[in-house]
Amino acid sequence: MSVQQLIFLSLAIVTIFSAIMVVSLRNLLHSALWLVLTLLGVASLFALLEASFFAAVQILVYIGAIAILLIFAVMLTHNIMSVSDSQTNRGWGIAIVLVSIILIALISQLSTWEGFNTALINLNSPGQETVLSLGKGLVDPQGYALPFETASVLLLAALLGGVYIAFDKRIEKKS
Amino acid sequence: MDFFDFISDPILAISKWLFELLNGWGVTADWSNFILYFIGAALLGTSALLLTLIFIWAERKIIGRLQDRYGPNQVGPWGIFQSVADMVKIFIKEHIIPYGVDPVPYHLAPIIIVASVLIVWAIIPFSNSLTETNLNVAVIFLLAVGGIGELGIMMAGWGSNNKYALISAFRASAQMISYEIPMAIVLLIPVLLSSSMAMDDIVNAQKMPFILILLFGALIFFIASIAENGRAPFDLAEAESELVAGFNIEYSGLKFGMFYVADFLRAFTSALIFSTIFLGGWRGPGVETFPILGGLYLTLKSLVIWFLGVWIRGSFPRYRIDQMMNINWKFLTPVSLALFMLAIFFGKLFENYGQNIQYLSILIINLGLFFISLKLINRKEDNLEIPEIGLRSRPVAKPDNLFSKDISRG
Repeated sequence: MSVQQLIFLSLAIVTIFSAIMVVSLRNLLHSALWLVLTLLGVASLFALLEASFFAAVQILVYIGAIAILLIFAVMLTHNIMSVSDSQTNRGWGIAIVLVSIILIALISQLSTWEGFNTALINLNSPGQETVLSLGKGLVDPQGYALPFETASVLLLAALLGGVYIAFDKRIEKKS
Repeated sequence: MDFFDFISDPILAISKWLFELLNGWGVTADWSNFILYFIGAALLGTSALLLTLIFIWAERKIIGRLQDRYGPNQVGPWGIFQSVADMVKIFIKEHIIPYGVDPVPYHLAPIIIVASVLIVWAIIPFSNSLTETNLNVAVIFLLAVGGIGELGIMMAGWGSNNKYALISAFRASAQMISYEIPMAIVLLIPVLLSSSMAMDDIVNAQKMPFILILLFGALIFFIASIAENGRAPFDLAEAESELVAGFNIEYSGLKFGMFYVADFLRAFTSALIFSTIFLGGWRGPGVETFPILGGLYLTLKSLVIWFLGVWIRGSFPRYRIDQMMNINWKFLTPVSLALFMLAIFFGKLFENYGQNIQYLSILIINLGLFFISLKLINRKEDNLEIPEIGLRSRPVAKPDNLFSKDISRG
């Protein structure tokens, strides 16, 4: 077993275990902290695949922003830590059946696709090349300019919506 | 000649020797690389932590002189072994775990905070042959690691089960999240000028140190990095007068020591980053033939920046939390955005006229923005109305004077 395989296996085990902990723990703050570990594991997997840009962005965006925001929200929500309700509702049996059916259907369909079994080609672009080609791909009209711009517009709309909701409506009432 | 090679670049020579030794023992190349990286990381981390002892002493001494007192002066000559004594004391101190802590976050937080500082050392090039990891996204990595530091602070604040610790953790992470924004925006300009996010390429691109071009940008980065470190005048997370001690209030013994070490190490680490990005890193005369000199130049440059930070820490009063947020959101962020946009625009406009003209235009933009913002601040200061908080006439415990009922004199 090479070093890479050993590292991959340990990272994969950590990631999956912490992902299970996220959904099974009762204490929401602990779940959020396990989520951080999961995201860190995913980032390490990216790093192992030599996709260092994705690894760094994964940490920056998901851990640095989203997980911190999540922890803030959990901490500031009143009494969320002391809820002793059951974690499942009556529909859990049906949910398990449906989810496993969908999972099996997806996997069986995907495995018939010919791209599923092709070995991936190593990009083999040293240094900045990976980041450069990613950046060019995102703004290239032949590449992914349209999805990129759509995502930007969506994010802008979400931002405006957030500002509108948070906007102080008392000013309108006064006038 | 062999000896000369060794002197000019001892670390590379040692690692080469070790690699061959491991190969001789029959270890495969990737395993021996792994072992070498492991040893390098351990050595670097340990030496950084040991250096902190000296930094703690030096900072206490300098701040002592700035405040007209002696600073540590009892243990050893000039008190130089004071921090060693402190370290021993912290090692043998009783470790008190308060009732009702959340054990995992509480015990993990100091480790995460120290790690988040140490991990930055992995991307700093110490000479043109010695980089720990030539990460091609080092600049993003730098910002990402800041997020992990925030996480550690939040865990410490939450895990302590103490309202002061929690308030302090909120303050600290609000501060770090907000000051990351101008920092990130300003960092983009050196990235654009060197057209790379790798620290090596940024250093290599600095034939002329970027601080000569990006005067204002470097200033913004410096202010933001002081705030990011949570040092005075931005040390609101540890405002003793309001929060007793900050997010580390419930920690004692070695765990408190780890917070302490992280705090002092972070100051020097951000100085290292500043000198790598804006002062040309290991660049200096004679560095091509003697790579070991690079480490010396980098250390000297960082020490100057670090001293500036300590100087500011010793001289400025603390800001209020709203003032600190105002500085960031109403001044640093818009100004750094404007600087970034103008710098790309004019940099691209003058790209064909050669590098000198391009750099000159960016320098002019920097100076112009600096004076404009200085003027804006001063104009604001003139008609700034400071609302009075609290009453002028405070009731003071004193015997009532029957002849004058004037309470305002209290």
